[in-house]
Amino acid sequence: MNLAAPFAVDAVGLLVSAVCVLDPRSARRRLDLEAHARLDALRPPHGWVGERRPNGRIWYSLRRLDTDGFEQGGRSQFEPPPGVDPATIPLVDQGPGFPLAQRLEQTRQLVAVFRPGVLLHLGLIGRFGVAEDLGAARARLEQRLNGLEAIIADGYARAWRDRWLSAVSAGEPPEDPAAAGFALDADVSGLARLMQAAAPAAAMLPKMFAAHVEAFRMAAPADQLAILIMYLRKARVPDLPQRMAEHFMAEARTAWQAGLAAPDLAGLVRAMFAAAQSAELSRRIWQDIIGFAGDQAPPLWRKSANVAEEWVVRASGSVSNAFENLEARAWARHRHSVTRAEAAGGAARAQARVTELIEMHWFYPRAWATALAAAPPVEAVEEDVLGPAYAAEYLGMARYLA
Amino acid sequence: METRNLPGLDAALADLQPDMVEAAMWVVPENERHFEPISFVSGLGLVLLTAFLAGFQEEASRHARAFGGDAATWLAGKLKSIATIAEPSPQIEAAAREGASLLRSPDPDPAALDASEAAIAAALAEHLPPDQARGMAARLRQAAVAHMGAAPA
Repeated sequence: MNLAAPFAVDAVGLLVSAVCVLDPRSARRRLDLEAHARLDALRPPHGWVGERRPNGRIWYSLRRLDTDGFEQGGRSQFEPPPGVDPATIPLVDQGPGFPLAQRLEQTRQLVAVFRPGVLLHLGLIGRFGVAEDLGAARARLEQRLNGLEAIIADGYARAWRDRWLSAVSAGEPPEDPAAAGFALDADVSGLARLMQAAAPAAAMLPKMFAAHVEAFRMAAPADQLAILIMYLRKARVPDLPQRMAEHFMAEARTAWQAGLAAPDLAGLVRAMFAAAQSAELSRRIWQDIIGFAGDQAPPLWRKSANVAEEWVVRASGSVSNAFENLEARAWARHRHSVTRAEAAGGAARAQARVTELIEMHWFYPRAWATALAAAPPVEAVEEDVLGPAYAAEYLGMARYLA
Repeated sequence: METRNLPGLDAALADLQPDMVEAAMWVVPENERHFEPISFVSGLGLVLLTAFLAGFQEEASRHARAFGGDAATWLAGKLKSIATIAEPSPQIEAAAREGASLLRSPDPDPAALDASEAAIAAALAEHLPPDQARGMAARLRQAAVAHMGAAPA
């Protein structure tokens, strides 16, 4: 009998336990696994999905469906899942230069399995021209930001300024309006343009659609933005980040107010998309400078960050609602909620519900208040309420996605 | 609040609703985020209108030598803890009712209206960016004068 063997096993077990206790990552991992096991029991996983990142690595995530069919995220990791043939895992390519049409097709196949309703969302992304090619947009963005970082390290914007000035003196238009704005570094709106160029669809898509299409997740721009803000705050103009945050806040406010004043849903969506981007930029800048200031941060900064976040949530929700309304589903639900409110509390309660949907959730432009309260037949929504142009777009997308 | 029964109040509140939705986002505590109930928004409008009317009355009748009387103190406290602070005192309710009555007179005192608007802006500026606070106070005055000034006695 080998008496040492049981002790050896015990020793290994003890060591593993000790590592789990001493190493918080191990402990967290164990808790994660326990949580996943509980989740698996509640909602069995549906399958693994891979996402190729710009650096070539593949991020695997386990998808599951909620009881109402809504897709939920499960565990995720860089390591290929054990016991699964990687060749059988659907892969979404997020590398630079990947054509949008192929990406959409790839994602279409993917979401057809997991959440068919998302197909329309993908169509709308193309329809609004939010990003003509996400891979190319991100490649340009990374190129620009990487260059920018080097320039910052090399002594702020001298190189940009020289390039821009030489281009102007040579009678050539600046190759990039954002670079022109950045060269004139005292000009807040110029910096705003730079930020606008740096942040747009690439940064906001994940915020808006992360719950629906994780394939569009991208995180890098946030870090680059933080670097730029830190530099501006420390070295050049300490109050410039605050002014930029205020600038984007004002821009967001103008945009969402324009959205609510739009005559139709398409106008609302375009404005809200812009509002969400500006508000998100503002929120990030507020958060950064609050982080730098710590306890010295004025209360109004914290309130501003909070309100900017509210605007992001509302504007993003407005866009998502419009997506859902391509099938008029949200409209039908909202109309019924107004009808229910009227039955429960009369015209005043119904009016309060309409106000809630428009003024608080930004789901519809103000021009739709009457329609929301007037109970048009839901069947007629596409033609009579959404408008023939919008209905045509919907039908066009349906054909594309069919 | 008894102020609820004032003539023209409902119309003024309805007119102010979009502004109040925005103001509510700034006034609510940071940890209570996203989508205040509509009743909260209406309540905020009522609070601001009450303070505006009471402040107007205080100034118009020179009960307070400079603005900063009961109405301003009450409003500042109310905005700091909007969900929990007590209802306005009977004095403020009475001042607001009298303020509404003065507003319906043929020639309401413009200096008193200015002072009340400025006080509302100052109280809101504790919570909103100053230019928005001023804009909000101006809208409040506009709605009060348009709907409550023109309302039948």
